[in-house]
Amino acid sequence: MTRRALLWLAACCLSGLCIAEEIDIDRSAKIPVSGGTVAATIFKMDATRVRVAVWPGFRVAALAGIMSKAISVQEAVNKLVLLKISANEILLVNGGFSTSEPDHPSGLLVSGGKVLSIPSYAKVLGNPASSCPVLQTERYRLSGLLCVRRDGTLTVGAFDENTWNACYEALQVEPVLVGPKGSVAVCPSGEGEDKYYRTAVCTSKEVGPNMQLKVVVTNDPISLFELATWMTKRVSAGGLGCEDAINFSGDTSTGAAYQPPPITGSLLHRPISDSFGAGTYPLASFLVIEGRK
Amino acid sequence: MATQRSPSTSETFWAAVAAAVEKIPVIGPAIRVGLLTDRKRTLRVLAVAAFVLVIYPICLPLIAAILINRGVLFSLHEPYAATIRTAIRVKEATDTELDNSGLYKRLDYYQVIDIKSNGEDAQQLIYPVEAWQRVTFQVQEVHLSSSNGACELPMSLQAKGTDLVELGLGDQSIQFIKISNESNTDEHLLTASVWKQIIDSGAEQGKLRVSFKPVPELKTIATACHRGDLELTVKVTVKVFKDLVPHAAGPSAAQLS
Repeated sequence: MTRRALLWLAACCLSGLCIAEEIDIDRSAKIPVSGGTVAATIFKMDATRVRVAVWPGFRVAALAGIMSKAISVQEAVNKLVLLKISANEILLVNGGFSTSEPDHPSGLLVSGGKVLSIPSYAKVLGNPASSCPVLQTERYRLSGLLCVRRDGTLTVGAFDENTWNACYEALQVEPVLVGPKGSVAVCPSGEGEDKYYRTAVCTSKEVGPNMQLKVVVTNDPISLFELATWMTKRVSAGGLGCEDAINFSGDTSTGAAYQPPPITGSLLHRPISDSFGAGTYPLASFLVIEGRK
Repeated sequence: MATQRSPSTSETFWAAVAAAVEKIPVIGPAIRVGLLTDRKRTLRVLAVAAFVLVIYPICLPLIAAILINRGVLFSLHEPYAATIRTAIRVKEATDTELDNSGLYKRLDYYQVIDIKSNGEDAQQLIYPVEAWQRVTFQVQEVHLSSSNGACELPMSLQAKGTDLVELGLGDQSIQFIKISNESNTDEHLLTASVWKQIIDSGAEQGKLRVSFKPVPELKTIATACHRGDLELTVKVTVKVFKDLVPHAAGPSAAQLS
């Protein structure tokens, strides 16, 4: 009997029907902020067990069968885009920023080794008199970069004009939230204090031997400084334990959609995809995270 | 009894009104006489005068405003509204960017040019600028992206500092600066020698043509892609000042003055 059960399990796994969930979802996370908490959804995964890709908005829109070259997360869910991308476990997250035209990304976008948008080398002048160290020196306006090398190695951190061309998938965003060695990289005043819905991506090695990839989608407005401060805190202290983190496009762009893996033994009764965050603004780029088969 | 009392009440009322209006300076006595002699005609004249002088002037702009807002008078107001919006933007820009420097005292106007190009066609704008007027250009942002996976951007356009657009001036589109993908905060001033070239090329008085022309390599790639797949966005700020750049008076200056 046990042997028969094992045979069934092996048959299921070989036919691709038995796939363990690689993405762990905390749907009711609370981010402590001054005067209360901010509701958020956190997606956690082992970065070595998922495939991360950057998709231009027009590619997602084409799958949805719409005329526009930009599409919102909500519309992508409504048009069953996730199922069209893959039958397996998949997470679709809103990407970076766009120009005044929603279908044209702002800054670097590399998808499948193809450069579809050139890097933004624009810099912001430093103000030595500023009390915030981040603002004292010259920096890139789009300071953050998500980079996936051809071998699947993922890095999240500061944009580097000399190394970005090694990326097979890349998205330039702003700002860097958590800098090297897990320090807060945004200022408490100015840009850092404006409250919007946020999407942030971070990497951490706090738990386990492999790098953890974490995606945060807030359901309430939060300032970048509050978000970054919480992300740097250790997991044991109620934080996210991030060593590097970057901010993606926020406000109504903020959104994610998740499609669980097929239920073992049945493709017909697969759960429908679930969406998180506002996700109503048409986007020029997406992050597509798939569980490795 | 009642029919006899009614006119007498009416007469009393109109006599009281006539006595009251008599106190109005200049026209009061004339109205009084009119009310007592030919009341109907006087009231008609007064009604017409009140309509022409009071009601009509108030109602006319109200009706016009309602019709414009409802789009009945087409969109005649839109250029005006656009001018107001631009003026507000200019004011905001000068307030935020020039206030601290003190330059705003000499600023004639400030404008943000947001050029969107398919990478093939040149675009031209005309600015009201007098010869030798101090003008600066500052590149704020440059973006180049493709909306077609088959239209990949080559490495030659990705490297930092690669020229993407030539900014030309004057009727002959004299090359002024090359805009690279590395926008920076440097201001480019129209020097006296550039002004001389523009004037010598026979530029129209009081107008400065500014052209944005994609570099040949970008044009080649854009032509190879489907039209509209490439989008080049260039944001440039133009500051036109009230003073002139120092220049020697000569034939060029005389040509436009």
